[in-house]
Amino acid sequence: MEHGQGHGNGLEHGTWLHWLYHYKILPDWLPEVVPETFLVVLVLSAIVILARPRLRTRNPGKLQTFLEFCVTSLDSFVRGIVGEEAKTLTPIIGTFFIFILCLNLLGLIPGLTSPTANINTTVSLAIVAFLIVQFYGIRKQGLVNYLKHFMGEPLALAPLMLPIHLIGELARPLSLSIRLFGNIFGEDMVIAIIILIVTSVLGKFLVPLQFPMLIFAIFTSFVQALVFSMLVTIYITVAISGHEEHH
Amino acid sequence: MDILNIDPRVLIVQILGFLVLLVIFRRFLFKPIAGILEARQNEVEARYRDAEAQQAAAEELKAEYQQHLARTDEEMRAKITEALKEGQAMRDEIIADSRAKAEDILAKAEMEILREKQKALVELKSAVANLVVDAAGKLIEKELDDAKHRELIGKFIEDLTPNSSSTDRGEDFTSGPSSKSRGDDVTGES
Repeated sequence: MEHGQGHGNGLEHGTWLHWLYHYKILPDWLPEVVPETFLVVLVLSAIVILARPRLRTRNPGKLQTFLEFCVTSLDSFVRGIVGEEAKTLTPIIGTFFIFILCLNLLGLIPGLTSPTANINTTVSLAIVAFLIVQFYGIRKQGLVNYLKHFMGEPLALAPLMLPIHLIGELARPLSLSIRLFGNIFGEDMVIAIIILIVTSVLGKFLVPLQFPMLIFAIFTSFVQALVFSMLVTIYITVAISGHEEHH
Repeated sequence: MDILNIDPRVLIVQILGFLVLLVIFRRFLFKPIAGILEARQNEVEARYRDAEAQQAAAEELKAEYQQHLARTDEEMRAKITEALKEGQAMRDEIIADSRAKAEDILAKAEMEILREKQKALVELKSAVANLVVDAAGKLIEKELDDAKHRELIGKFIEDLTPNSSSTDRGEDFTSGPSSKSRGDDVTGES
């Protein structure tokens, strides 16, 4: 199993999607995590688009039952944090959760890597989260009030508080992206190292010693997707409530 | 950026990927599912409301029917009691009527019997008179005219009657001249 580390120079492509570079369909500067990400987007979109006409109020099928379970669970999760705003936030937070979970789990498929083990993916997700938080904050409080809360109280301490608040605000996407990247990259590295050790020590006798780590990776994939989604939800809640963040 | 291997072009592409998925999920997953769940909830609530309304109506109907049944039962009992009373009265009337008719028939029969008895006695008297006339004619061998004969015989029979049926109720229709006067007549005739 290959694990992408961000092929900035585009010289190394080792996944099943290598043929996209071989036939010059994709430019070399694009790391393989991008087609992998779009593979996930494509599969998830295909599932929901194909399921859409089959959705019905009575006698739902297995797929609809599963989708309803996902939506209601995510809605309960978001509603538990933000309350009535969940109606507009559930699709965003739900998309974050499902997308990150699928990206994390993609690395467990032999021949593919986790796109979230690439910093570009996690940073892009964190940027989107950051922009959404700012959007909801401004929409709820108004631009002036929202910017005013960076000044802090009393206003005389604004020169001191403003940089602190701005750094704190900018630290959020940084922490979001690095946490997700570090966990998934580390987990994939552990799996890769176990496989390397097994192959180098036992030679031709391939023993799946990485299997327990794969099981653990499923758990960490879920946890990391949950942590990212939860933090984004909390950030939005803080932004729309206008209170200081305490975490 | 270079140290972290961050490429702005890749960032933009990945952000686009996420936004595409967000739009698709919003349109094809979250909104339809939320709509379906809401429709289902509304349907369930409507069904509950309908069921409650129907139950209330059923309860009302039940109470109404129970009242109706109780009223019917009461009316039925009253009618049965009335019919029993009527039947009893009719029975008594029929019995009384029958008894009266029976008594009437009995009285008529008794009258008929008496009449027949009288008739039989008259016929018997006539027959006996004829026999006696014949017998007396032969005994005394003396010619008597027929009217005289008859008179004699009649008196004879009248004299006989108290003796032959002294215990009978025939005294009623044979009542007339006393035995003394009849004896006198007979002796007078003889």
